[in-house]
Amino acid sequence: MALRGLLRRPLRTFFTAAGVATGIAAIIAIVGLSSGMEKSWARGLKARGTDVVVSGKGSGIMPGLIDMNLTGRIAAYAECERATGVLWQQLSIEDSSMIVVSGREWSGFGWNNLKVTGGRLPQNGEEQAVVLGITAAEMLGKKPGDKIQIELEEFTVVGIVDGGAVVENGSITLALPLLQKAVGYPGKINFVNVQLKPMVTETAARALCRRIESEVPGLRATLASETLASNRSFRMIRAGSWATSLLAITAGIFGVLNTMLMSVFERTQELGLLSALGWRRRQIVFMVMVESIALALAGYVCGVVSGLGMLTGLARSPMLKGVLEPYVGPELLLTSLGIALLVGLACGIYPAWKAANTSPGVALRA
Amino acid sequence: MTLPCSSSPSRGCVYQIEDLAKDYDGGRIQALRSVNLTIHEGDFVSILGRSGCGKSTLLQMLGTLEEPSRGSFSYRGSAVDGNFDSCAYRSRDIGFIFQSFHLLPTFTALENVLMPMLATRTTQRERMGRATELLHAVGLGERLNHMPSKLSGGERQRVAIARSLANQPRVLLADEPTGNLDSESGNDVMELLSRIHREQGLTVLVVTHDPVVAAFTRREIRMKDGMVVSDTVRGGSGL
Ligand SMILES: Nc1ncnc2c1ncn2[C@@H]1O[C@H](COP(=O)(O)OP(=O)(O)OP(=O)(O)O)[C@@H](O)[C@H]1O
Ligand SMILES: [Mg+2]
Repeated sequence: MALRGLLRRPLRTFFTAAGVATGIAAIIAIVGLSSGMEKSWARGLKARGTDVVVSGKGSGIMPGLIDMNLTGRIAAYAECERATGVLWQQLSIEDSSMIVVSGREWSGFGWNNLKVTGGRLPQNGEEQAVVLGITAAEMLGKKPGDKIQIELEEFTVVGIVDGGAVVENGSITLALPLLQKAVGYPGKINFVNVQLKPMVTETAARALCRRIESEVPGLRATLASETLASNRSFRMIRAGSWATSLLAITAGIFGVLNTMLMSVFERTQELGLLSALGWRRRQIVFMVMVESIALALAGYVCGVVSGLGMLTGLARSPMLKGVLEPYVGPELLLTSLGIALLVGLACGIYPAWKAANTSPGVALRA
Repeated sequence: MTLPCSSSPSRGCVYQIEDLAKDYDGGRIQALRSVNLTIHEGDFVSILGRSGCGKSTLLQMLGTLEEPSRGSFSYRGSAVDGNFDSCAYRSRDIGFIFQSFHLLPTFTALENVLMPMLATRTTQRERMGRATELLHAVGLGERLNHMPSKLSGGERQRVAIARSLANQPRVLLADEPTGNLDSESGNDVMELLSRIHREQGLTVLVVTHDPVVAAFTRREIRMKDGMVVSDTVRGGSGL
């Protein structure tokens, strides 16, 4: 019954559903992108065996620089198994756009997760050499033996590595002092990656983070899984991405409301007739609500499909390739389903009320 | 006060109408001034009168599609007022037939006949069976799955008649059922209504401005300016 109502004006139904779909697609794509950012980041850290991240405080998404001697101070905490300093930079390499370059202490555990798929790792911390993640190698078009220019210094690509995470595979890795020299930050790092002792619980890890922050001024300490979520800039990105996509769905809301109102007005006679045939108000309300919700759900399905499509496209784009993998979890799908249902419900109420109050006498005089 | 229903003790009283009046536009239009009528079980009545005399208004009030401004009426002894379940009444007790058919354009003949049954407790099987049977009875057994736009006017009205009978009503209220039809299909429709009245003993009220249509009925009520001016029973038999 409701379907028949919608199919009577297939074009209008299609465009209305497309309006909702746009909103839902925006949610899926934009929010999926930011949660993908969060997920990829956490996965990259986990791949390196990092449980806690200590960084300098900074205003942007990149933390401020800190002295590399702080690594020892962090490692001295009882809960820490070991700690290693990382200088993390996003640089434009040759004619490619921004690529993550990660300088890691040669003796630290930051190298352990890199599986060599071609060539080798550097022989020692002094060799003027880098390894490329598999995606980075593909993007730069480099193979072992090629030269690569990083800022002022020239290096030899000695190996290709699989780091087990998108961020790792999209980056260039080299020994810490070499990068410090190349970018002109001698003795500086911006992250201390901490591996905790096996027995340390999550609660204890959180307590450790708070202790580090209070005892060493100028540092921020977070669990690896929450690093990005606790970053102020990233929180703003995430809020912004929700705001943008909710704005997009607002357009969809007006579309559905307009369509449902038109459809009720057009059918004044038919609704009056159903009432004259003995349909109860609640049956008429139900019919209109089903129609409205079906419209929104159709939009949801199309929105999810096109949103996922957009995300896949974005993730393959040169700009984002190797930086993040999109992540659309069940929560996001459910949240957007909830939003679509809410849109259908909210947009159905007034038209349904209108429909139920159609006076059969007036409607049937025509 | 009208005469109590006992004036015709042999048959029950379907409608007892007392001083019924309807104003529109805050009293500027008096569509119905004061109507007093008694309709008996099994009556076949035509309500005849010029355009604008209030015939449709009367029928709509009997069908609870409009509320009276003054006066009252009862249906089988129960007052039709705020406590009256008009949905159940429209669904089970009466069937409506309109001049412009009012079929749902996006549904087939069969589905249109099913519509009133969707408001009742019946199984899909029962509904289909009854709708098919009714369409056969009005001579449209071959047109079950036609859209209204693919049917002639007379056929559409016959679908509407089948629909009005869907929930086995005891009263049919027909407002100019032949108004949009040529005289031949108009006659067919009136023949059909006569047959339904005869075979099933339904009470049938037909509003019309056409004396030829009225001639099919047994009792003729004439209206003028919102009032009943004459009420005659043809053929003297009284039934
Ligand atoms: N909703 C309304 N608002 C205002 N006036 C109305 C309304 N409905 C009916 N009227 C007026 O009430 C009067 C009676 O109308 P009604 O439809 O009952 O006449 P009728 O006898 O059925 O006429 P017809 O043969 O043309 O159908 C008319 O003057 C009409 O203009
Ligand atoms: Mg009329």
